[in-house]
Amino acid sequence: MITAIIFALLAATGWGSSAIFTRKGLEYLPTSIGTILSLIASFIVLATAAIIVYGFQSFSIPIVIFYILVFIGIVNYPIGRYMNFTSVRLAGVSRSSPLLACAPLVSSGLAIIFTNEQLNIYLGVGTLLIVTGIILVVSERR
Amino acid sequence: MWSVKEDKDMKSLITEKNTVILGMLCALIGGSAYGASQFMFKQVFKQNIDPLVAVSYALLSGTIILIVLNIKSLKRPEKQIPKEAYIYCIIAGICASGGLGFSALALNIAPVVVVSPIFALVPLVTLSLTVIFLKATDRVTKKIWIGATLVVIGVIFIGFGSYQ
Repeated sequence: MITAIIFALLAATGWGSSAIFTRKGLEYLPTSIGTILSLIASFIVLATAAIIVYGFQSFSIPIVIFYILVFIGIVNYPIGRYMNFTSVRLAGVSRSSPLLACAPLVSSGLAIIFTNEQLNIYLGVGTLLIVTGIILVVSERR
Repeated sequence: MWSVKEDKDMKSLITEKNTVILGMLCALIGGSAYGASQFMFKQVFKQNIDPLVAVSYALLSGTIILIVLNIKSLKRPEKQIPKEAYIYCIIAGICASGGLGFSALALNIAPVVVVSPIFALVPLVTLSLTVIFLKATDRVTKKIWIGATLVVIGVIFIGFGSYQ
Protein backbone atom coordinates (compact mmCIF):
# COMPACT_ATOMS: atom_id res chain seq x y z
CA MET A 1 0.00 0.00 0.00
CA ILE A 2 2.86 2.40 0.84
CA THR A 3 4.37 1.77 -2.62
CA ALA A 4 1.06 2.76 -4.22
CA ILE A 5 0.93 5.95 -2.13
CA ILE A 6 4.52 6.81 -3.13
CA PHE A 7 3.65 6.22 -6.81
CA ALA A 8 0.54 8.39 -6.45
CA LEU A 9 2.59 11.17 -4.81
CA LEU A 10 5.16 10.92 -7.62
CA ALA A 11 2.32 11.18 -10.16
CA ALA A 12 1.00 14.32 -8.45
CA THR A 13 4.52 15.79 -8.35
CA GLY A 14 5.01 14.94 -12.05
CA TRP A 15 1.80 16.74 -13.06
CA GLY A 16 2.57 19.65 -10.72
CA SER A 17 6.13 20.17 -11.97
CA SER A 18 4.93 19.91 -15.58
CA ALA A 19 3.04 23.19 -15.09
CA ILE A 20 6.15 24.88 -13.66
CA PHE A 21 8.33 23.84 -16.63
CA THR A 22 5.55 24.88 -19.02
CA ARG A 23 5.49 28.36 -17.50
CA LYS A 24 9.28 28.63 -17.80
CA GLY A 25 9.32 27.42 -21.42
CA LEU A 26 6.43 29.60 -22.58
CA GLU A 27 8.19 32.75 -21.42
CA TYR A 28 9.98 32.62 -24.80
CA LEU A 29 8.24 29.97 -26.95
CA PRO A 30 4.90 30.35 -28.77
CA THR A 31 2.19 28.24 -27.11
CA SER A 32 1.69 26.05 -30.20
CA ILE A 33 5.37 25.07 -30.45
CA GLY A 34 5.58 24.50 -26.68
CA THR A 35 2.51 22.26 -26.75
CA ILE A 36 3.78 20.24 -29.73
CA LEU A 37 7.20 19.74 -28.10
CA SER A 38 5.63 18.56 -24.85
CA LEU A 39 3.27 16.21 -26.73
CA ILE A 40 6.13 14.64 -28.72
CA ALA A 41 8.12 14.13 -25.50
CA SER A 42 5.07 12.61 -23.76
CA PHE A 43 4.40 10.30 -26.72
CA ILE A 44 7.99 9.01 -26.87
CA VAL A 45 8.03 8.27 -23.11
CA LEU A 46 4.58 6.61 -22.96
CA ALA A 47 4.84 4.64 -26.22
CA THR A 48 8.25 3.29 -25.12
CA ALA A 49 6.78 2.32 -21.73
CA ALA A 50 3.80 0.66 -23.46
CA ILE A 51 6.09 -1.37 -25.75
CA ILE A 52 8.29 -2.45 -22.80
CA VAL A 53 5.33 -3.36 -20.54
CA TYR A 54 2.82 -4.83 -23.02
CA GLY A 55 4.85 -5.55 -26.19
CA PHE A 56 4.13 -4.55 -29.81
CA GLN A 57 1.17 -6.94 -30.13
CA SER A 58 -0.87 -4.88 -27.64
CA PHE A 59 -0.97 -2.07 -30.24
CA SER A 60 -3.28 -4.09 -32.49
CA ILE A 61 -6.72 -2.80 -31.49
CA PRO A 62 -10.18 -2.87 -33.14
CA ILE A 63 -10.62 -0.12 -35.75
CA VAL A 64 -13.66 1.34 -33.94
CA ILE A 65 -11.61 1.77 -30.75
CA PHE A 66 -8.86 3.37 -32.85
CA TYR A 67 -11.30 5.99 -34.20
CA ILE A 68 -12.57 6.67 -30.68
CA LEU A 69 -8.98 7.14 -29.48
CA VAL A 70 -8.31 9.58 -32.34
CA PHE A 71 -11.36 11.56 -31.21
CA ILE A 72 -10.17 11.46 -27.58
CA GLY A 73 -6.75 12.60 -28.81
CA ILE A 74 -8.33 15.65 -30.45
CA VAL A 75 -10.31 16.54 -27.32
CA ASN A 76 -7.50 15.90 -24.84
CA TYR A 77 -4.48 17.37 -26.62
CA PRO A 78 -5.13 19.99 -29.33
CA ILE A 79 -7.97 21.31 -27.13
CA GLY A 80 -7.14 20.24 -23.54
CA ARG A 81 -3.38 20.61 -23.40
CA TYR A 82 -3.27 23.57 -25.78
CA MET A 83 -5.81 25.43 -23.64
CA ASN A 84 -3.90 24.35 -20.51
CA PHE A 85 -0.66 25.86 -21.91
CA THR A 86 -2.46 29.00 -23.12
CA SER A 87 -3.97 29.51 -19.66
CA VAL A 88 -0.57 29.06 -17.98
CA ARG A 89 0.86 31.65 -20.37
CA LEU A 90 -1.95 34.19 -19.97
CA ALA A 91 -3.16 33.78 -16.38
CA GLY A 92 -0.15 32.17 -14.72
CA VAL A 93 0.25 28.81 -12.98
CA SER A 94 -1.34 29.94 -9.71
CA ARG A 95 -4.68 30.82 -11.33
CA SER A 96 -4.81 28.12 -14.00
CA SER A 97 -3.99 25.01 -11.94
CA PRO A 98 -7.04 25.11 -9.61
CA LEU A 99 -9.32 25.79 -12.61
CA LEU A 100 -7.85 22.92 -14.63
CA ALA A 101 -8.55 20.63 -11.68
CA CYS A 102 -12.30 20.93 -12.35
CA ALA A 103 -11.94 18.02 -14.84
CA PRO A 104 -13.55 15.36 -12.54
CA LEU A 105 -16.63 17.59 -12.28
CA VAL A 106 -17.17 17.35 -16.06
CA SER A 107 -16.22 13.66 -16.11
CA SER A 108 -18.74 12.72 -13.39
CA GLY A 109 -21.38 14.94 -15.02
CA LEU A 110 -20.97 13.04 -18.29
CA ALA A 111 -21.09 9.73 -16.40
CA ILE A 112 -24.44 10.76 -14.85
CA ILE A 113 -25.84 11.78 -18.27
CA PHE A 114 -24.54 8.92 -20.43
CA THR A 115 -23.96 5.91 -18.15
CA ASN A 116 -26.80 6.39 -15.68
CA GLU A 117 -24.42 6.91 -12.76
CA GLN A 118 -26.46 7.96 -9.71
CA LEU A 119 -26.11 11.43 -8.24
CA ASN A 120 -25.32 11.04 -4.53
CA ILE A 121 -24.50 13.27 -1.56
CA TYR A 122 -20.71 13.04 -2.21
CA LEU A 123 -21.09 14.19 -5.83
CA GLY A 124 -23.41 17.02 -4.73
CA VAL A 125 -21.08 18.30 -1.98
CA GLY A 126 -18.02 17.84 -4.24
CA THR A 127 -19.64 19.88 -7.03
CA LEU A 128 -20.56 22.64 -4.58
CA LEU A 129 -17.01 22.80 -3.18
CA ILE A 130 -15.40 22.86 -6.65
CA VAL A 131 -17.72 25.62 -7.88
CA THR A 132 -17.02 27.68 -4.72
CA GLY A 133 -13.27 27.13 -5.19
CA ILE A 134 -13.46 28.20 -8.83
CA ILE A 135 -15.43 31.35 -7.91
CA LEU A 136 -12.77 32.24 -5.31
CA VAL A 137 -9.90 31.78 -7.80
CA VAL A 138 -11.68 33.63 -10.62
CA SER A 139 -12.64 36.54 -8.35
CA GLU A 140 -9.02 37.05 -7.26
CA ARG A 141 -8.05 40.42 -8.76
CA ARG A 142 -4.45 40.78 -7.64
CA MET B 1 1.67 65.02 -20.59
CA TRP B 2 0.47 63.45 -17.35
CA SER B 3 -3.00 62.72 -18.64
CA VAL B 4 -1.57 60.99 -21.72
CA LYS B 5 0.70 58.84 -19.55
CA GLU B 6 -2.15 57.93 -17.19
CA ASP B 7 -4.31 57.00 -20.15
CA LYS B 8 -1.60 54.69 -21.50
CA ASP B 9 -1.17 53.09 -18.07
CA MET B 10 -4.93 52.57 -17.85
CA LYS B 11 -4.98 50.90 -21.27
CA SER B 12 -2.17 48.55 -20.32
CA LEU B 13 -3.98 47.69 -17.07
CA ILE B 14 -7.20 46.87 -18.92
CA THR B 15 -5.31 44.72 -21.41
CA GLU B 16 -3.54 42.85 -18.61
CA LYS B 17 -6.86 42.23 -16.82
CA ASN B 18 -8.47 40.94 -20.03
CA THR B 19 -5.50 38.67 -20.64
CA VAL B 20 -5.89 37.09 -17.21
CA ILE B 21 -9.65 36.63 -17.73
CA LEU B 22 -9.00 35.04 -21.13
CA GLY B 23 -6.37 32.79 -19.53
CA MET B 24 -8.82 31.65 -16.83
CA LEU B 25 -11.46 30.98 -19.50
CA CYS B 26 -8.91 28.86 -21.38
CA ALA B 27 -8.19 26.95 -18.13
CA LEU B 28 -11.90 26.17 -17.69
CA ILE B 29 -12.19 25.01 -21.33
CA GLY B 30 -9.01 22.94 -20.91
CA GLY B 31 -10.30 21.41 -17.67
CA SER B 32 -13.61 20.55 -19.34
CA ALA B 33 -11.77 18.93 -22.28
CA TYR B 34 -9.68 16.88 -19.82
CA GLY B 35 -12.85 15.85 -17.98
CA ALA B 36 -14.60 14.79 -21.20
CA SER B 37 -11.60 12.77 -22.32
CA GLN B 38 -11.27 11.16 -18.85
CA PHE B 39 -14.85 9.93 -19.24
CA MET B 40 -14.18 8.60 -22.77
CA PHE B 41 -10.90 6.95 -21.71
CA LYS B 42 -12.81 5.10 -18.95
CA GLN B 43 -15.21 3.70 -21.58
CA VAL B 44 -12.26 2.56 -23.75
CA PHE B 45 -10.51 0.90 -20.78
CA LYS B 46 -13.68 -1.14 -20.19
CA GLN B 47 -12.96 -2.80 -23.59
CA ASN B 48 -9.75 -4.33 -22.16
CA ILE B 49 -7.44 -1.94 -23.98
CA ASP B 50 -4.15 -1.37 -22.13
CA PRO B 51 -4.13 2.19 -20.69
CA LEU B 52 -0.65 3.08 -21.93
CA VAL B 53 -1.50 1.83 -25.45
CA ALA B 54 -4.75 3.84 -25.50
CA VAL B 55 -3.01 7.00 -24.30
CA SER B 56 -0.17 6.50 -26.83
CA TYR B 57 -2.67 6.34 -29.74
CA ALA B 58 -4.53 9.40 -28.45
CA LEU B 59 -1.26 11.29 -27.96
CA LEU B 60 -0.04 10.42 -31.47
CA SER B 61 -3.26 11.54 -33.14
CA GLY B 62 -3.42 14.72 -31.05
CA THR B 63 0.20 15.57 -31.87
CA ILE B 64 -0.26 15.00 -35.63
CA ILE B 65 -3.39 17.16 -35.70
CA LEU B 66 -1.71 19.98 -33.75
CA ILE B 67 1.33 19.86 -36.07
CA VAL B 68 -0.92 20.04 -39.16
CA LEU B 69 -2.84 22.99 -37.67
CA ASN B 70 0.37 24.89 -36.85
CA ILE B 71 2.51 23.91 -39.85
CA LYS B 72 3.09 27.57 -40.83
CA SER B 73 4.43 28.66 -37.45
CA LEU B 74 6.65 25.57 -37.34
CA LYS B 75 8.15 26.40 -40.74
CA ARG B 76 9.08 29.92 -39.63
CA PRO B 77 10.45 29.52 -36.12
CA GLU B 78 11.02 32.87 -34.40
CA LYS B 79 14.59 33.92 -33.84
CA GLN B 80 16.19 34.65 -30.49
CA ILE B 81 14.44 31.85 -28.64
CA PRO B 82 16.83 30.46 -26.01
CA LYS B 83 17.48 26.72 -26.12
CA GLU B 84 16.35 26.45 -22.50
CA ALA B 85 12.79 27.29 -23.55
CA TYR B 86 12.66 24.22 -25.82
CA ILE B 87 14.21 22.06 -23.09
CA TYR B 88 11.70 23.29 -20.48
CA CYS B 89 8.74 22.34 -22.72
CA ILE B 90 10.24 18.92 -23.45
CA ILE B 91 10.74 18.35 -19.69
CA ALA B 92 7.13 19.51 -19.12
CA GLY B 93 5.97 16.77 -21.51
CA ILE B 94 8.17 14.16 -19.82
CA CYS B 95 6.85 15.18 -16.36
CA ALA B 96 3.24 14.96 -17.59
CA SER B 97 3.80 11.49 -19.05
CA GLY B 98 5.71 10.50 -15.89
CA GLY B 99 2.67 11.53 -13.87
CA LEU B 100 0.47 9.39 -16.08
CA GLY B 101 2.85 6.40 -15.84
CA PHE B 102 3.10 6.60 -12.05
CA SER B 103 -0.69 6.96 -11.75
CA ALA B 104 -1.12 3.78 -13.83
CA LEU B 105 1.38 1.96 -11.57
CA ALA B 106 -0.36 3.21 -8.41
CA LEU B 107 -3.79 2.17 -9.70
CA ASN B 108 -2.35 -1.25 -10.54
CA ILE B 109 -1.48 -2.04 -6.91
CA ALA B 110 -4.06 -0.10 -4.86
CA PRO B 111 -7.78 0.61 -5.14
CA VAL B 112 -8.98 3.87 -6.74
CA VAL B 113 -10.46 5.02 -3.44
CA VAL B 114 -6.97 5.09 -1.86
CA VAL B 115 -5.06 6.59 -4.76
CA SER B 116 -7.46 9.16 -6.25
CA PRO B 117 -7.44 11.52 -3.20
CA ILE B 118 -3.65 11.78 -3.64
CA PHE B 119 -4.05 12.54 -7.37
CA ALA B 120 -6.50 15.27 -6.38
CA LEU B 121 -3.69 17.08 -4.53
CA VAL B 122 -2.16 18.25 -7.85
CA PRO B 123 -3.30 21.91 -7.59
CA LEU B 124 -1.79 22.20 -4.08
CA VAL B 125 1.47 20.56 -5.25
CA THR B 126 1.56 22.96 -8.21
CA LEU B 127 0.95 25.99 -5.98
CA SER B 128 3.70 24.87 -3.57
CA LEU B 129 6.13 24.49 -6.48
CA THR B 130 5.01 27.90 -7.81
CA VAL B 131 5.87 29.52 -4.47
CA ILE B 132 9.33 27.91 -4.56
CA PHE B 133 10.29 28.26 -8.24
CA LEU B 134 8.14 31.02 -9.77
CA LYS B 135 8.32 33.68 -7.06
CA ALA B 136 9.27 36.35 -9.58
CA THR B 137 6.44 35.79 -12.07
CA ASP B 138 3.51 34.22 -10.20
CA ARG B 139 1.98 35.39 -6.94
CA VAL B 140 -0.07 32.91 -4.91
CA THR B 141 -2.51 34.80 -2.71
CA LYS B 142 -4.48 33.51 0.28
CA LYS B 143 -7.66 33.53 -1.79
CA ILE B 144 -6.07 31.29 -4.43
CA TRP B 145 -4.82 28.88 -1.72
CA ILE B 146 -8.33 28.67 -0.21
CA GLY B 147 -9.93 28.26 -3.67
CA ALA B 148 -7.48 25.52 -4.65
CA THR B 149 -8.01 23.71 -1.32
CA LEU B 150 -11.79 23.77 -1.84
CA VAL B 151 -11.33 22.37 -5.38
CA VAL B 152 -9.08 19.59 -4.02
CA ILE B 153 -11.59 18.63 -1.30
CA GLY B 154 -14.38 18.76 -3.90
CA VAL B 155 -12.46 16.47 -6.27
CA ILE B 156 -11.87 14.00 -3.39
CA PHE B 157 -15.62 14.02 -2.63
CA ILE B 158 -16.43 13.40 -6.31
CA GLY B 159 -13.91 10.53 -6.32
CA PHE B 160 -15.70 8.91 -3.36
CA GLY B 161 -19.08 9.59 -4.95
CA SER B 162 -18.10 7.93 -8.24
CA TYR B 163 -16.58 4.96 -6.40
CA GLN B 164 -19.82 4.38 -4.47
